[in-house]
Amino acid sequence: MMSVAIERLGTARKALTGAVDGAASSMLRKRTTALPSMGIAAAIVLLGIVFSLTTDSFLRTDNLLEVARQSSLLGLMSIGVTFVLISGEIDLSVGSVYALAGVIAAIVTASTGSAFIGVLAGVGVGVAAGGVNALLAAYLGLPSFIVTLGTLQIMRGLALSITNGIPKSLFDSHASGISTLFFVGRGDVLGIPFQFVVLIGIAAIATVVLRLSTFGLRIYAAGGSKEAAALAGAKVARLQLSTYLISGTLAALAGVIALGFLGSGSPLAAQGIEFDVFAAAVLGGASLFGGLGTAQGAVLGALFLGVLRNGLLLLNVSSFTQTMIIGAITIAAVGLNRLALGRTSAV
Amino acid sequence: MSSSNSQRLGRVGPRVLVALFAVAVGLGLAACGSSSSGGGSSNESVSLPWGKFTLNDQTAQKIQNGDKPTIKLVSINTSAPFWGPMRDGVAAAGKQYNVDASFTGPPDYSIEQQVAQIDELTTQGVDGLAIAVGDADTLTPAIDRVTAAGIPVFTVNVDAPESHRFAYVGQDNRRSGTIAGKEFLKEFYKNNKKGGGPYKVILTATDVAGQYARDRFDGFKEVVDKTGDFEYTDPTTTGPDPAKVYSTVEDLFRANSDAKGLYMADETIVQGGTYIQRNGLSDSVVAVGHNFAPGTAELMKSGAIDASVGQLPYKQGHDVIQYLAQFLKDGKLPACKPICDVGQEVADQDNVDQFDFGSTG
Repeated sequence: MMSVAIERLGTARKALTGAVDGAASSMLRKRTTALPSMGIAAAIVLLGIVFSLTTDSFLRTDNLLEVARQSSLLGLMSIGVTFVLISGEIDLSVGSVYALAGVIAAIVTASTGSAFIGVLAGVGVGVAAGGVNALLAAYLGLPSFIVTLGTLQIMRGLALSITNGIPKSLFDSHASGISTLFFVGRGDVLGIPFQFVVLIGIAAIATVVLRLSTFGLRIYAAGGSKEAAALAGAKVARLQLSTYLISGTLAALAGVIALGFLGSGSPLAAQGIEFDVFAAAVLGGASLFGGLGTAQGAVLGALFLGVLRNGLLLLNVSSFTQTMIIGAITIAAVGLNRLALGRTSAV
Repeated sequence: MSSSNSQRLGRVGPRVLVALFAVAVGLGLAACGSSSSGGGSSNESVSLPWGKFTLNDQTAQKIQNGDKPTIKLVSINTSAPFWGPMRDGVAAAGKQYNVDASFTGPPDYSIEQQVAQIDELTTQGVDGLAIAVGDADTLTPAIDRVTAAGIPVFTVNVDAPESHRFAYVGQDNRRSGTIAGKEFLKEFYKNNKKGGGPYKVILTATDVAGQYARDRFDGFKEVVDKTGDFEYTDPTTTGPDPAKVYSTVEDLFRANSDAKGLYMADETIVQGGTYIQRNGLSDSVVAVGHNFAPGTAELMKSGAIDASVGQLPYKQGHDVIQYLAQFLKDGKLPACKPICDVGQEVADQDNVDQFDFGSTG
């Protein structure tokens, strides 16, 4: 009788899990639709119209391609951070990961004579950073805000210590594979900056993972409620480990691509970029409280900031005024997004 | 009094008097010696243009005991590559002059953090301070608090001339800007007609609000404005992130496609030069900057950067520690005071191979 009872309990649990998954899937599909992205897309179009009318160089093809390139690395980092935000956590360390990865990649490239090994080392920094963040935040339960604030400092400090504050240059490098690295950073495919091609490719993969995989849906579930997700059978800590690994890896990839673009790894790279990364993610529909966000939204958020900065510079707006305008328009855009989400969401 | 007593007194008295006299002379000489050496081995006062400075008791005692004084150089933002050679200069001078010299400061440009660190070091009882001034107006009261506590202060790299600093060791940033302006004009008029303006020059700095940037822009414009041939964009802050510097320069050239000159008031000229090189503007744009960051040499050889004004940061770091050590130990003030100009180096396309560009000097 006991074994029958246990068997029935197991069946009921499976049914409950299925029901929760099904309901979550339906609910979450609404959250992962293009709706949050439509708001920010509309904001981009609006900005584009304004800048097209007020400058004579905004709408030029080469300028638009430049904006796409300028937004690419921010977009990569924002996609990674979006994964973490969806799962209900936060990752403030991405800028420092970017810098340390670039510096390590430059140093290893120079010392081994191989850009391939350098790139692997750089990306490895991101994986390691993600692992450390996850260990402390997801497994030991320390607040992720504090953990990643700490690792932000540690990694930035490490980048500065290793280099003594001086950028590591690959200007004269003859390392094998260096031209490939430079192509990834500076090249183009049919005129489209290769960085942007990488961004779109990764955004596409991230979108499929978030929308169509069980893994993606469970990340949303964990962000919505860790307890409910755990009851439904999700291994929350492991999910969060995955999101931190994704975030760290994408930030490191961005740092390595920046190395290819600029030809040197700087310990000051991406200093203060945290505002932009989180602004892009939130503009794209991610919630700082978890359970919301999309990869395409993160890309659009990065493009929004890129268009805004580009337009203000084309208008010769002073640096001081730019800072105020960027802050104000970012708030307005988030408000617009929330308005669009709030009208149609049943959740 | 008996005659024997008076005789005894007569024999003892003069010897005692001579002995007392000798002691008095000795004490007097010792007192004179210490006052003539200023604040060095005692806490006598030393006169400075702003008033009298008296070394604090703790440091005076330390010096008299023969202990190593502690000297700190507080920079503006330790993370900037420029400070690497200065840090090395500080360490070298510390060893040379047998003082405990070290380099500190906020990692990122923050006046508040710099002031907080200075106040903290004052409370901790540091023996001497060298301060790279983030902003003269904000740092002047902080410097005055330090000297009021009996701790000598020299400014380095950027000055606060109205403060109670003993002297400034560094490059006159305004003069550095005028030198950049002269180099700019020298290169510009090789291929452009005098009187053919107005020619547009793009101005940028990591932080245009920084004292160093304002001084350099002033110096640059002072020289360039005399020609009547130039107009400028509003100085733009690029921030320290190289990718953002590049994007900012890119957008500024798009907004000002008629620009014929680029002046970047610090080592971000590397990213500016990179943009110029990649967009084939080396022949049409004259680019001038500061410092010798990695990449400057290559870009100069390729023609993308026309000149860069170095600041000799190693010498700045070394000399300021030297002067503080000499004051603390011997009471000597440098003959070059109040402005100890370390001079400048100018690298251009003709002499680029003579310089060490890895050091960001």
